[in-house]
Amino acid sequence: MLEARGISVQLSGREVLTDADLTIAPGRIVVLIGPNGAGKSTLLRAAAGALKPVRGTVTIDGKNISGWSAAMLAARRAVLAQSVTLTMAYTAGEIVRLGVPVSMRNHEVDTIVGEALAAVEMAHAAERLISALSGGEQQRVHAARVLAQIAAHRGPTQYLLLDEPTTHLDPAQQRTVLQLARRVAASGAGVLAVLHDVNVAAAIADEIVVLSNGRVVERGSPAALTPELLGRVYGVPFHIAESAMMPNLA
Amino acid sequence: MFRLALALSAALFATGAAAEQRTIVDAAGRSVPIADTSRIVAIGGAVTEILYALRLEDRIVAVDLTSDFPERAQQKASVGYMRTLSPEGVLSVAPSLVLAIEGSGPKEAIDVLEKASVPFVLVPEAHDAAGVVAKIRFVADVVGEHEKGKALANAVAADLATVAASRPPQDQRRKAIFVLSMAGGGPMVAGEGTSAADVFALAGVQNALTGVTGYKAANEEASMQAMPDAVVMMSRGEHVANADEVFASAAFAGTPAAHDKRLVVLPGEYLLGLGPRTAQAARDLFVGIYPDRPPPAVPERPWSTDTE
Amino acid sequence: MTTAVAGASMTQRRTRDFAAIGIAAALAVTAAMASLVIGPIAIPPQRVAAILFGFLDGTATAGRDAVVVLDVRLPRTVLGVLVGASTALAGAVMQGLFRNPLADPGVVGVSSGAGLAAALWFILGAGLGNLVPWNLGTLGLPLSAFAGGLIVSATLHLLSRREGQTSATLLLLAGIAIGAFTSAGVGVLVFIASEQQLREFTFWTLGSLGGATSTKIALVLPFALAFMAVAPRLARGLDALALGEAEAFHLGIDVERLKRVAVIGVAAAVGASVAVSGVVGFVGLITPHVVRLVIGPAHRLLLPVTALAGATFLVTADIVARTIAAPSEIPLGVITAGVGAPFMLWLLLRQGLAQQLR
Repeated sequence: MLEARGISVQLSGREVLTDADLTIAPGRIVVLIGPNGAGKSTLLRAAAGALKPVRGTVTIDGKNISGWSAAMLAARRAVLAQSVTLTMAYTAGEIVRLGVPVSMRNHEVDTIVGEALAAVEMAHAAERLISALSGGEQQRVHAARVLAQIAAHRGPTQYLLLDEPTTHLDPAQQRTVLQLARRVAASGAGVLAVLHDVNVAAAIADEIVVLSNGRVVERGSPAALTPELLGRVYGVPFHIAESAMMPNLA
Repeated sequence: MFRLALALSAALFATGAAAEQRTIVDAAGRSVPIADTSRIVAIGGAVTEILYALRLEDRIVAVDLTSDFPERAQQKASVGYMRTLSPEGVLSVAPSLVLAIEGSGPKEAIDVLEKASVPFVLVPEAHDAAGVVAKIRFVADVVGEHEKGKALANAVAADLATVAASRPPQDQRRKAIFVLSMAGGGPMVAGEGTSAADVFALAGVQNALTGVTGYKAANEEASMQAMPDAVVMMSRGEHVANADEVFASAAFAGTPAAHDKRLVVLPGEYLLGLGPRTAQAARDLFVGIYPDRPPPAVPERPWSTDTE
Repeated sequence: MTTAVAGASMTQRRTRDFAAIGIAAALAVTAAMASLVIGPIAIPPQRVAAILFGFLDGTATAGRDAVVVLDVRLPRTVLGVLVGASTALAGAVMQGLFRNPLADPGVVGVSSGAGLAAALWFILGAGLGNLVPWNLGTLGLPLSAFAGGLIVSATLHLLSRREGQTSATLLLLAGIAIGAFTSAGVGVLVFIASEQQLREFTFWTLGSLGGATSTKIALVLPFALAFMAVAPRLARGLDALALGEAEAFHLGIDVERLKRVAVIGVAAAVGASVAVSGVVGFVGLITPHVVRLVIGPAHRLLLPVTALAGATFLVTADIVARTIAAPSEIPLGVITAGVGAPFMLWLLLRQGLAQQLR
C-alpha cells in the first residue's frame, strides 16, 4: 500500500499543494484529475519521492520513504512521465535496459528487455535507434522501459506512477498506454495516473481524486463525478453526453 | 666569477681534442668528465659562434634554434629550443659532448644524457666584457683548444677595450630604450638585468628604462617618460623596423629619439648574444647612438664576417 | 516477433561489444609497442625486447640504447597511456554529464586552475624550488598544477549548487567566469615574468611528454587508476541522464552523487595529468566524440573503449611529436590539435551533410 498523508508542498516559497491524502492499493488504479496548476503532478512527484513535502508523509507498506535512496525507491515504484527527446543515438533496447538495475545477470536482463518490448509490440525495434522511431513508437519504448523496471524487481508490490502519459498521443497510442496501466494493475501492482481527459479517467479508474487549487476537493469512484462538481472545479459548464466516442479500452 | 675561475683553472690542465680524460666544472657547479670532443652539439648562439671562430665547425654535429650565425650554421641538424631539449633527439646525432649555454634544459633531459654517458657542459653566461672573454676561454678549454682560445679571447678583449675607451663620460651619455617587439598592447622593452642592458653598458649607452627588471610590456606613457634619445630594435631576418612606423606610435612620438629620428636596428643574436662579435655589435650600437662622435676603431674580424 | 529473437539480437550485440573492446585494446597495445620501438635513434625491435626483459628480470643492460629505451621511451609511453586514457575518459564522463557531445574536461575548471597554479610556480615559486634539493624542486610544478586544478574544480562545484542540487547551467557559467579570472591572473603573472620564465610557461601550456620520469608516473598513476576504476560504475547513471535528471532519479540514480563523483574524478585525473604533461588539448574533447560515432553512446562500452582510444591517440601523437622533426621535438599539444581539429571538422561536416541528404 502506498499512502500519502497530509502532503503539503511549497515551490519557490508558494504553497502549491495543501494537506493532500492519497492511497494506492495493490491492483487498483487511482486517477488524479483537475485543472492545470491544481497540483496533480506535484502530488504525483511527492508520492514518487521526487520532492520533499514541507508537511506530511509518504509511506510504502507503512515505511516512511523520506529517507529512501533513489535506488530503494526505484525498486518499489516506476514513473512514466512525458518523454524527453533524446539527442544521443541510443537504441530502443538500450533505453529499455535502463529500467533494469546493473547487478542483474546478462541473460536475465535479455529476457526482461525482450518481454517488455514484446508486450508493447516493439520487439522488432530492439536494435533500432530510438530517434528514428515515430512519436508513438518512442512512447511505447518508454512504456517498455517502465515495464522492465517493474519486472526486474519481483517480490514486494510495485507501484506505477503515470504523469499525463497520453499528452500528444493519438487514440491508438493512448490505447496502448492505458491498456498497459490496466495490465500492470491486473498483475498486482498499484497504479496512479494523472490524466487531463475526464472521460478517459472515468473509463479506467477504480478511484478518482479531484484536485483544485492545491487541495483535494473530491474523492470516490467514477460515479461520484457529477457535472456540478466538474463545473465548479474546471470553471466551465459540464453535461453528460449521450453518445460519446472514445477508444475501446478493453 | 668564482665559478669561472674554478672552471678556468680546471680547464688549464687540459690539452687537445684527443681522448684524454679531464674534468670540467661547469656553470652549474657540476663536475663533467670530458674525453672525446670530436662530435659536439652546440646550444646557444654565442657557443656556436665561438666554435666557428675557433675553426672547429667540422666538429659540430647539431645546433639549437638561436644558432643563426654564421648562416651556414643553420644547415646543421637542429635540436630545437634550448629549454625543451629532446634527449633521444640529442642522442640520435651521436654526440661526444654537449656544450650548452647556461639555462638550457629541462633537467630531466640533462639527467638522461648523463646517464647515457654523454658529457653535458653548461657554459656560464656573460654580463660584461670580462664575462664575454671568459666565455670564449671556457668553451675553448672544454674542447681542448687552449691556445686558439687564448688568441681569440685576447683579440676580442682588445676590441672590447677599444670600445670601452670610446665610452663618453657619464654626464654626456645618451639614453636609449631597447624594444623587443612592438606587437600587442605596448612595446616589450628591456629593463635592468637583461642582455640588452649589458650591451648598452658596454657601448657607454644609458638604459632609459630604470627601475624595471627584465623584459616588460611598458605602457606608452612609461616609454615616453623615459625620454630616450634613441630607440634600439632587433631585425628579424628580412624584416627591418621602419623608423617612420616606430616614431609614429604613441609610445615614442614626442621623445627626443623621435625628434632626431634616431632608430638603431641590429640583428638579434649579433647584438644580444654576448659572443665573439660583441665588440663589433657594441661599435655599431655606438655609431648609431653617437653619430657625432668618432667611432671606436674596432676592425672587422674573420669571425665577425660571414664569409664562405 | 518473439522475445527469443529480441534476446538473440542482444547476444549478437554483446559479441559485437567484446569485439570493440578487443580491437581498441589491440590498437592501444600496438601503439605502446610502436612507441618503444620507434624513435630518432634506430634500435632493432629484438634489441628493444632484450633491453626490456633485462630490465624486468634485473639483468640490466648498459649503454646508450638501454638509456633510450628505459629512460626515455618507456616512461614516455607509460605516461602517454595514463594521461591519454584518463583525459579521454574524463572527456567522455563530462560529455555524458552535460548531455553535450562537445563538452571537454576543462569545463570543470581543471585546466584553467592548473594553468594558473603552474604560472604561479614558474614565475613566483621557481625561486623556492631552487632552495630545495633537486627532486622536490622539480615536483613543485606538478604538485602546484594539481592543487590548482582541484581548488578551482572544488570552487566551481560549490558555486553551482543551489538547494542541494548541482545546476549544469550554473556550472558552465561559473566555469566561464572562473576561466576569465584565471586568465587575468595568468596575465598579471606573465606581466611580471622574465622572458625566460615566459617561454618556459608557454611551452608548458602546449603540453609535452618530454621529461617523463618514474617520479611523474608515480604522481599520476594513483589518480588515473582510481578514476578508471570508478568510471565504469557511472555508466548506467550517465546513460540514464540522457533522459533528463528527473527521469534518471526515477530510474534509481542518485543524481547528486553521480555529479559529485564525476566532477571530483575528472578534476583529480585531469589535474594530475595536466600537472605532469602540461595542457594537452583536444584529447578529452575529440576521442569520446569519435568513439561515440563508431560504437554508439551506451556508456558501458563507451567508457572503456574511449580510455583505450585516448591512450592510443596520445601515444601515437607522441611518436610523431618526437620523430618527425628530430633531433628537435614538436610540442604534443600542437600535434593533437593539429590533427584533431581538422579531423573533427571533417566529422562534423560529414554528419551535417548526411543529415541534409536524408
